[in-house]
Amino acid sequence: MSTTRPAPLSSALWSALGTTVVLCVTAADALPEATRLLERELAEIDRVASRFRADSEVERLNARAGEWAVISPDLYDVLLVALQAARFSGGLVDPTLGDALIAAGYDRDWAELERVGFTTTPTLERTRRRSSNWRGVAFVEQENGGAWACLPSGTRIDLGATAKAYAADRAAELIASVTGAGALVSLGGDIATAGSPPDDGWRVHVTDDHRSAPTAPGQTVCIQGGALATSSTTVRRWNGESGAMHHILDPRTGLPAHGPWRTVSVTAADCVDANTATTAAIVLGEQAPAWLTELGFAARLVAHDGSVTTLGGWPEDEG
Amino acid sequence: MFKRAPSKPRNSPRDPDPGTPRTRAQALRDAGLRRLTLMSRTLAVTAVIAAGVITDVVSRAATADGTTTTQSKSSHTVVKAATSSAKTAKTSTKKTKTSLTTAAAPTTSTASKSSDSGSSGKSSSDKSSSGSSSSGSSSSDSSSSGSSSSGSSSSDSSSSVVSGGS
Repeated sequence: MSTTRPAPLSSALWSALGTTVVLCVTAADALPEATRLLERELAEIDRVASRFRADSEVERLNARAGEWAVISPDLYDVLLVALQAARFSGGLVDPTLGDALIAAGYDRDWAELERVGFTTTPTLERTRRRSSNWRGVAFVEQENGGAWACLPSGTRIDLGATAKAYAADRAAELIASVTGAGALVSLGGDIATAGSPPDDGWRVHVTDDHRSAPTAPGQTVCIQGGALATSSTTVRRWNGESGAMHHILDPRTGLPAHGPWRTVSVTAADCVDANTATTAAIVLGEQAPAWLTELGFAARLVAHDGSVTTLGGWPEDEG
Repeated sequence: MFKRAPSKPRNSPRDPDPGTPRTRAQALRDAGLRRLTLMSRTLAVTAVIAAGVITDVVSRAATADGTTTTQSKSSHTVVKAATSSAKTAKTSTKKTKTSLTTAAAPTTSTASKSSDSGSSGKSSSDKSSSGSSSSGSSSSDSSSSGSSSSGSSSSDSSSSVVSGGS
């Protein structure tokens, strides 16, 4: 074991996109520039993809569902990423759940909901939806990299998780390429890395809630690169008419997923894929271990009773 | 407008795996994202239909004499230019890939501060945790990072970033 103390990481923490932002770089002098780059990326992804801003580009597109509308290259990128996630997950990660989330009561930024409470009473009947619409989203690409886009009538896009994961991937790559430092970007606990890692790797503590302290129940692991994401049904929960609700909806029913897993963590080459895998695993339920294994993912699944299942080479918890 | 970050190498329908010859039709089916080329005298665009099941596509293309024709093609058919003066269609530059991509499994941290971790593999357990957050401040060489805060910065070699639900 090396006795040399590893070089310190420089990090910054703040709030954006309704969640916690953590930025770590391997060179202290890179932190100011890295912070500036990340803040700019987050501002742009918020302007493009936020469901909670009436002036965001995706909300303008949602308002024109059923019609063709011009979208920017930035929104086109984010939409394609979300639709790829839907395709790769067999529709388990569905960006067309916006209406279902609103019907479930999740109609404003989470921080505002926590502050003022829910103004609508979600019911299973209002939340339930009959079919998925992601296959019906159509584009005609333009030469400038943007596109004409058409959402199926009655469809509302919620880019939520994939947009944040995509932003983490982009920002980490951008920071590493501009500053030359190794970079880790965590948006709400979904982590992307780029560049050279610290000598002992990026240390990540996986647990139910990304706001927890690194000493919370869970496991601390190291990654040398790529990404690590965690999805959990223990956060963003509220009470509906028919019982507890949470933010991970099963597209097959439009209702909160109710499988055996409360928290799933996955490593992947990038954060979008890691986030897609964790969300799909929560929704898929009992079949998730076989699905993750078939795709070759390293994963850690925590059942509602706290029991842990590890797959694909994910290290077992130390006793 | 934010800059495009350098993309990681990914498979794309136009970059099939070596040793896996595929026809164009197969590549299109595999890609899932259907690219249909529509051309006119004044516009060259590539249509990307994000649907797995598009049964019929109707395209309109201007003919050389200025009239408009309508063609109906299956989703697997590239719509041909209806005019000899049409520009060459621009190939899509959008990133596509053929599957979710895995990464090396994480390793056990030698300085793990995990409490209440289980005994081994499939029989360990996590006790339910509750979130915590702290208010923002600046610090140096603090003992932990990654919990929720606002506007703080630190320098530390032993801390962990927390990955959890959000």
